[in-house]
Amino acid sequence: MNSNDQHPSPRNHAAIDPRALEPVVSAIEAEFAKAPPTIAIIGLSGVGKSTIVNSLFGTRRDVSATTRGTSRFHKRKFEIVSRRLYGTSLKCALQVIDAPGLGEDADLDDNYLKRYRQHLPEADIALWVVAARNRALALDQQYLRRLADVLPHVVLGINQVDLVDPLSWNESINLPSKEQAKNIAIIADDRRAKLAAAFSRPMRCVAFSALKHYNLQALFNACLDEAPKHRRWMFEILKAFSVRDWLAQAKGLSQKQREALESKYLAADDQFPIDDASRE
Amino acid sequence: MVEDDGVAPSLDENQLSELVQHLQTEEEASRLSTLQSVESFNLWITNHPALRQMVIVESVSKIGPAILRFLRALFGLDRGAPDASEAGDATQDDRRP
Repeated sequence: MNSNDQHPSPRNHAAIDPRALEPVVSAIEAEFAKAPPTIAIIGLSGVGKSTIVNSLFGTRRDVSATTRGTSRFHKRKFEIVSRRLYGTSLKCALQVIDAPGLGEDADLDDNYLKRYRQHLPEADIALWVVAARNRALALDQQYLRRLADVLPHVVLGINQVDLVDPLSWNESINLPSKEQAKNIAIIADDRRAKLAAAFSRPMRCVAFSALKHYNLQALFNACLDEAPKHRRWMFEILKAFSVRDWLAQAKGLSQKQREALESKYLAADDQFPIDDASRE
Repeated sequence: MVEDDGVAPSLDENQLSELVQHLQTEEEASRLSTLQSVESFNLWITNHPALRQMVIVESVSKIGPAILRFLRALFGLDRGAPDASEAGDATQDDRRP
């Protein structure tokens, strides 16, 4: 059943009065301030961790970031502030825990792993990222074993699948070629088996490309499934991508064709007329 | 069938079918994540110590998926995703094909 069958059409939501929702909005702000949704992103240097977080949550637009920790271990809080509403700014935040330099220096890695152990219990989601072309998994396996007991919820993300052999990404439709798709499936099975063995538990695994916006939704859903039930909505609110971003990179489509496909297959981007006069 | 406007190269039937199939898969996944998040929001709001007593909570629970989109708009988060050049910063990826 279509979700719109169950609920009033969003287009009829002139009925939503922001003022009536003030207590809810205040409670949401308080929740974001008290315990911001937190994602730990773990993976060796060069697997595209920053690009992933930015693609999923748009952490590079209108945000201020505060970083705590050493220069190579970050506990970053991205504070997202909206335009002012009723004379006050609405704030929500995303917390990201990552070590951009992991895997670069064995001596430093010990420190990064200690920091991960310290902070992972705060994370709602842990995303372990490997690069699709990287067959050397020894460090990942070793680090997974060392962190397994503090990693209750983990998703394995296999990034950069557009670089899988034979490097024949179909730019026209922004999808892997048939040969690539076969190799991606083989790689996904292999990496999942090897890393799940190190983790001693099954792992959700998603092959994707943050650069191409390919399978980002599948990655997001896998992460959401692992997040605590009562906190999943916070990630959805912060989600900064849609299937339109993937479609926009299909170079074989003209703007007109793209619009026709969007109109036929995608739900409309509902606009909510929030009175600008109430914003300063 | 999508008509070509003569500006971009046309896709053949197989490519178009593959593209549409992926489009539908992604859209369905997106719909499911929204539904899951709405359920999560309702769980949070109905267990919130201050909110659960309020009449508004019942109304919010009935709104469905639109509530999340509404809140995104309210928080100023519905300004579109970052463009491809931002999202795909190859230098950050340190991509080595």
